[in-house]
Amino acid sequence: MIPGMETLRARAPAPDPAPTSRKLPAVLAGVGGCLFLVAATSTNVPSFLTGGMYSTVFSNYAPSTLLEWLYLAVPAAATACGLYLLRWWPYLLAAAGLLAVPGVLAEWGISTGMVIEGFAPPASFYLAVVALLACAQGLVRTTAGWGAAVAALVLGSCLVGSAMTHVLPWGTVPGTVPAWQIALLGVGLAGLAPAVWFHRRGDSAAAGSAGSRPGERVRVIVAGTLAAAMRIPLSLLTAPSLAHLLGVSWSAIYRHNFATGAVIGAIALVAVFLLAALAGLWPLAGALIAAAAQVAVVAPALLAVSALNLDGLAPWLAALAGAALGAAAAGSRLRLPLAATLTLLAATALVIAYGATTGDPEKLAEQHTTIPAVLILVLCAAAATSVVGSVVPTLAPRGAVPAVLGPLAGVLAFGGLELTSESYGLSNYAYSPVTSQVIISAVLLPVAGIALCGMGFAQLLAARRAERKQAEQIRREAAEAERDRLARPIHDGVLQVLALVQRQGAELGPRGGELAALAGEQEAALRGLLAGGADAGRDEAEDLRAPLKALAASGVEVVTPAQPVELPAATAAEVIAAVRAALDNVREHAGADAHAWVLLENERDGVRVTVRDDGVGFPPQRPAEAAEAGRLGIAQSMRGRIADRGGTTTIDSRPGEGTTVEFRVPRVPPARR
Amino acid sequence: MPVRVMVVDDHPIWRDAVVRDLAEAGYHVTAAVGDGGQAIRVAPAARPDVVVLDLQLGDLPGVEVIRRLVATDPTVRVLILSASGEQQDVLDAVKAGALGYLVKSAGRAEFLDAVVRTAAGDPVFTPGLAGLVLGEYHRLAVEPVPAADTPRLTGRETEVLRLVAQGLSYKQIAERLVVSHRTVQNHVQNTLGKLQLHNRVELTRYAIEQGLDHEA
Repeated sequence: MIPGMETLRARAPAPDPAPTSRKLPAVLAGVGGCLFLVAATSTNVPSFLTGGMYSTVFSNYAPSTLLEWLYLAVPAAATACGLYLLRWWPYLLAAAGLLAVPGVLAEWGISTGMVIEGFAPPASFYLAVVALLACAQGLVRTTAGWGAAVAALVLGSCLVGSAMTHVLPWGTVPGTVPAWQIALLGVGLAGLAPAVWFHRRGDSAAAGSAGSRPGERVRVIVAGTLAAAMRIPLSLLTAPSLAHLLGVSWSAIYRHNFATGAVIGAIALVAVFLLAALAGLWPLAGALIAAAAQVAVVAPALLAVSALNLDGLAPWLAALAGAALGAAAAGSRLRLPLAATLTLLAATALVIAYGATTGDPEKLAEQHTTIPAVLILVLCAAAATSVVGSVVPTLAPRGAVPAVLGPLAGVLAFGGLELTSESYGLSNYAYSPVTSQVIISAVLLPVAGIALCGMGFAQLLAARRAERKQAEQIRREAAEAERDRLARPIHDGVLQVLALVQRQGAELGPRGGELAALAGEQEAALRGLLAGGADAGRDEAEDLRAPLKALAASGVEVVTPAQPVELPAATAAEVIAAVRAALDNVREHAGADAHAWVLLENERDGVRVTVRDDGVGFPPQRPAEAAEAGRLGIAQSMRGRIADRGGTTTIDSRPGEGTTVEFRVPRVPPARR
Repeated sequence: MPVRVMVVDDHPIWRDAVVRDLAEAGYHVTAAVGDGGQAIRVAPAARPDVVVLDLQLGDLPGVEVIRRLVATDPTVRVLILSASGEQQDVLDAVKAGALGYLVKSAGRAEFLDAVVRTAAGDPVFTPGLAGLVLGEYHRLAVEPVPAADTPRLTGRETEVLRLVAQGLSYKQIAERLVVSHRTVQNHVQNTLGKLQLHNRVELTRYAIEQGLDHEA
């Protein structure tokens, strides 16, 4: 298998026979699934923004009954199931939609039993998130834009749902919610139907490269499941156990509940960070960026919704507009610059709000200033959703599975929120007074935007590199194949005839001798050419044999070992140039009928090249004279080049006995180590 | 009694030229064949003293031909005459028991001299072959797990081989090192002998490890 092929194949999917017919059901299903999320987050399921978690620091006891433990395990079970069955995402979504029904019925006062009411909504929520991200990944294969838009809507729909009702408790209009929810679930299930039909045999693209690599698949499932299971160990961190752990008294925990919240957040953050790293470096980067955007959007959303809470539909209309804008930005070709721009705009709006209220943005909420609040909500929602949406197509070519981002980013966001809750001045942010500290969001949003662009850039560089590597590989293989194709007939035919001419021409008098010499030169050149293609194109280490063989001519014999003699390419070039200079010297000074031999040897720590001729030779002082006279040929070209590479040159000559030049070069130049 | 020679070369022009040269020089060419399988089949009947072998044959690798020829008749002396620059092939051929290696572009006189020396059991060491043998000893020396019986060159042998590889004749080497011509010849022969012995030992060891020693 050629390295780099994997990535390229992922980048260039096989042409889809009917792209529109397969794209449309998936997009419909994605939007339909998002309606489930709106319904889910507008009931009392803990918000997606926090990964379905809430601070447990104020509870005095750990779960005790089996049912309570099982309840905590529901997200992990749903995530594991979702990640295991990624390619069956339409069925998962359908299951999520059906599981959302008991929660809605409960809102209407129709009870389906405590157990179902407790277990079904969180399971529905986690299944929906994983399945929607799988749908996005499947779409990314054919159209990156729609995949990104669906992923963006996952966060957007949670924001819309939260803006509607309970989790942000200001907008509740009794009696209206369940009707909405029933409508949402109905429309969502209807939108899902075509996808269930089209992908009734599964959507293999949804699993990404993890579908074909068992090891990666296991890592993704384990990382996502463990992240979703984070609530179990964290639920053990009750006030008494935390006091014990930190070595302080209970009362201290109650007095400094912000700090203890931050401790829990930090623990969650570190644990999920490690889990994300288990899933791979790219998912880690993606999850961190998505989490940063999710953390950043909470405070401004709380602020804006509380400012708008007398304006009826305004909060969720604004959230809807923001989500749509974010999804459109993520879906466009320019998603990275657009997302970065949106984060900067949102940050600017927040900074202005902060400054205009003289450092107390809560005034916006107290005075119900509609236009600024709408602007902030739209911009922040758009910024966060576009960032989260853009992460998916940026990650997908790197083989990362976006579906794992849902649980990872959710729990990371929980940890981040707990950590920042102290500076927000929130103990239980969902029900607390609106923060006056939106400035952290103003910083986090651009950071997420910039990190996203950085990741996009890194992905681009990695893709370029893989492309170059593959092109180089193809070129090399083609060159090798071509060489092999040519080599056989040339060996069998041309070289044989040239050798024969060379041999027998020499016996036909002076003109024949000339012919023989010409034939000899051509033979050497041809052989050099054939050998030359073999190892060309290697960047790091260059085999000296081929370029030296190319220097062979009539009267110049090049002797090499059968094993490669490798030096760093730059050093090799210098050595070859030095040998060429030495051969030039032979031609100019050794006499007309002098022969030369070039011997190449591997030594334990370096390379030795000897150039010997049987010419007239010279007294030992000649090169020094030449150097003084300004003819620096030998001194500069040979000694200088070799010394630059940490090597030595010895020249040995006596009149009438020819000249021997010996270069010894270490494999690693000492000065450049 | 004239020296009996077998010529193996798949190139008809070359084969004829070599046969003619040998015949003119007074050799008894007992067989001239075009492929390795034929050479192995004909050899017992042709009973050559010297085999002039091209390494590039259509059917069998040259090394394999040498191995089988030497196995059938350990006294046979193989001279490789090759247009190929495939150095590993040449090295393998020499390790498998060939006595010398000459490029095809060598002159007629040089070729006939090489046949004389091969017939006398003297290795025909061109500079190219000396370079290959030097390289092989280096490869063996830097092997990650050197065996106890890995052959090594003495200082003198290295010196002689390097001079051969630089194109000096035995006579010139003898003058330069102030030793006899015979001593130079012995050194060269030793370097080759050690490699061939090592090669045989390795093959045998391999065969025993693979449980093939009872086969064949």
